[in-house]
Amino acid sequence: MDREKENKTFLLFLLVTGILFLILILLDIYTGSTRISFREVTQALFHPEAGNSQYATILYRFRLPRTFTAILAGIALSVSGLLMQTTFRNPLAGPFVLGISAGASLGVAILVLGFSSLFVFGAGTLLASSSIALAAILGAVGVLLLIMAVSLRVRDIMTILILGIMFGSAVTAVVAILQYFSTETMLKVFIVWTMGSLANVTGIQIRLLIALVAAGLLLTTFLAKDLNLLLLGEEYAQSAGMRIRHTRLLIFLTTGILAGSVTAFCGPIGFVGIVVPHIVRVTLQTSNIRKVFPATILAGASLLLLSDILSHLPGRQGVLPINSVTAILGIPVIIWMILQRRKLSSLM
Amino acid sequence: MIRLQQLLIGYRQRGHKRKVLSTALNFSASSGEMVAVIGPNGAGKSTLLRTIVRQHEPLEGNIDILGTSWHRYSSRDFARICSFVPTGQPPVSQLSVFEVTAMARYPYTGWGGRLKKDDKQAVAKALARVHLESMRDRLLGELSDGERQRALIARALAQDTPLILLDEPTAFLDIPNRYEVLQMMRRISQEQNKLFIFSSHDLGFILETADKIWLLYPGQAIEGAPEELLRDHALDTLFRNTDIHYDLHKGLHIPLQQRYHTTIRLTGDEDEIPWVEKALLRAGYPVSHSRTDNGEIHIEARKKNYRIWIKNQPEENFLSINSLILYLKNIQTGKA
Repeated sequence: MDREKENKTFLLFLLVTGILFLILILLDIYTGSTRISFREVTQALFHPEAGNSQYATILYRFRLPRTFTAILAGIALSVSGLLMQTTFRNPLAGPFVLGISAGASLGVAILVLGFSSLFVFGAGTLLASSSIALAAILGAVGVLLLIMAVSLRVRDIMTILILGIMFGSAVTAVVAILQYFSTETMLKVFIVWTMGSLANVTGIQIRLLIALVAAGLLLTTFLAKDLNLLLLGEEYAQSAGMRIRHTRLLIFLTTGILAGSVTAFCGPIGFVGIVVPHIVRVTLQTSNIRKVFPATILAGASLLLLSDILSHLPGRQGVLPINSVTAILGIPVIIWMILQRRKLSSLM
Repeated sequence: MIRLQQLLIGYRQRGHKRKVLSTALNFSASSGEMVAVIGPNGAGKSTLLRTIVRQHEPLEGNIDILGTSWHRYSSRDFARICSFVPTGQPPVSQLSVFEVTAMARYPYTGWGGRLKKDDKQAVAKALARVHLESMRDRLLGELSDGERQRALIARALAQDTPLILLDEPTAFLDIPNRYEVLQMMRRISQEQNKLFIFSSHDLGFILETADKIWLLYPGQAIEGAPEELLRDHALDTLFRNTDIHYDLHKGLHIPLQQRYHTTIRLTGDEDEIPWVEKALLRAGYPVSHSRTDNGEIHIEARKKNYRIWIKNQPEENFLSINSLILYLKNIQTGKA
């Protein structure tokens, strides 16, 4: 494929995904468990005082924050998936596979289940959301640092991946013990958290999430040059003058902020992080981070918006756990990619 | 340009144990040279290269590059004097030849990695050097092994360093590609006065193309021109336990074992005789060219027509050397 055509593909992808993104935003706002007509939503959106105040409340207290959260979480998870796949040069790597989410859930489990007697959780108080977020980030970064410590000693990338999965399983075992000894109420709080939800992030929490995701994206932008070089492998990267440990540390920190913060506020949402970078790479036929990164942002936000719309079974009561929807959407894509390509290495 | 000073390579193991791979190395090399690092598997060729490019710690000693100890350079400065092509293929396939080559400009570009005019020039020049200008937009995964190796060498060239190290640049390549890659390196080292240090097992090619050999052998380390090493039988250690030896005229030589006592009398066309003789020797027969018939077997070789007379057997006629040899083998084992 010549470069002009490649650039055209890239711009076309941005355009199509951009339009899709806008349509999905509107769909996400205009549909939901409560049936509200198109006109009433529009009115509530632009003249909240004029129309049905209940609709305005639904819109401003529930739908808009949820849409915002879906966009932020989609971006953060996809980008951290891209970071991990690039760093570990493994097409099946992602925050979930490497145990970052397991680490985050351990952090939350220790907080919710372990120290539940020390803290009081009111829904939506700053203390609760910030401490859950902090606990999740600490847990996520803890697992990442562990993997990083191992990766400095072990050269073989498969070994690190297997160790990551082992850490994840060990952490899950500890979480199970905490669950066993916790009270029923706190257990339910935790279980609901693990199912994932985009609905519980409101007000100041969203601002916090925006700040963290923005910080993560900014760091990724600064890392783009290094990430590109890392695609060739660490030996090449080092010979071109990269300070590997330094770069790895920054990448792990960025992943911890992005995946950890989303996991903290929304629970462990799987598969988005693995699937989106692949969809982008396969469509654009390039691994160049300068193209894959912006495209991943748009595609990631769109995919999670779509999952959110589907999870609300438009027009019906009841909401599916977001985690199940992303899995049901994501797993067929992964299977399809594996069967299509046969050689996994050709995915990078 | 580069001088190893009492360099001891190897691995640190648990506690204070060390696995030492070499004796203290005191090799040196100058710009414009092709230096081949050779030695048996496990002698430390890769470890030596990786030690020089700072991807592995030496146990002891120092390396002096351009008058300064090599560990005193910053990462960026070191990347401007020394580039490295590791062995094997990179794990990425969806990057174009241009993108891969342009990565070499890492130590020259700012944090955004934007290519300036001289960066683009360096990349274009490197691609031209390895004859890949027309393939600059092809993806790495679409290239043949030979083309990929050339692209990776272009990447090292675009880094614009006086010193380039390559770990087994000819592994996985077929014979014409091996030859081409080595010739290309040789040409570049002469024209641009660059120092190439590479490891390889292709002794035949190395003896013809390298200016200097660094020979690593457990408990032994010798450097010198290929001819000096051959003259002093230094390479014999490499062939220990085999019957391969080097012949000044024939090159690397594998002696053939005689398996049969019956001498075969070979006559016929001058063009055909050497080829048939070679095949017969490999099959294990002594060959004579005497005019008088006193042996048991006589072969007359004409162009694509080989007649054979064997005592107590009817005369046979074959169209290929292969079927002739097969017939002889079957006679010996009593199958014909």
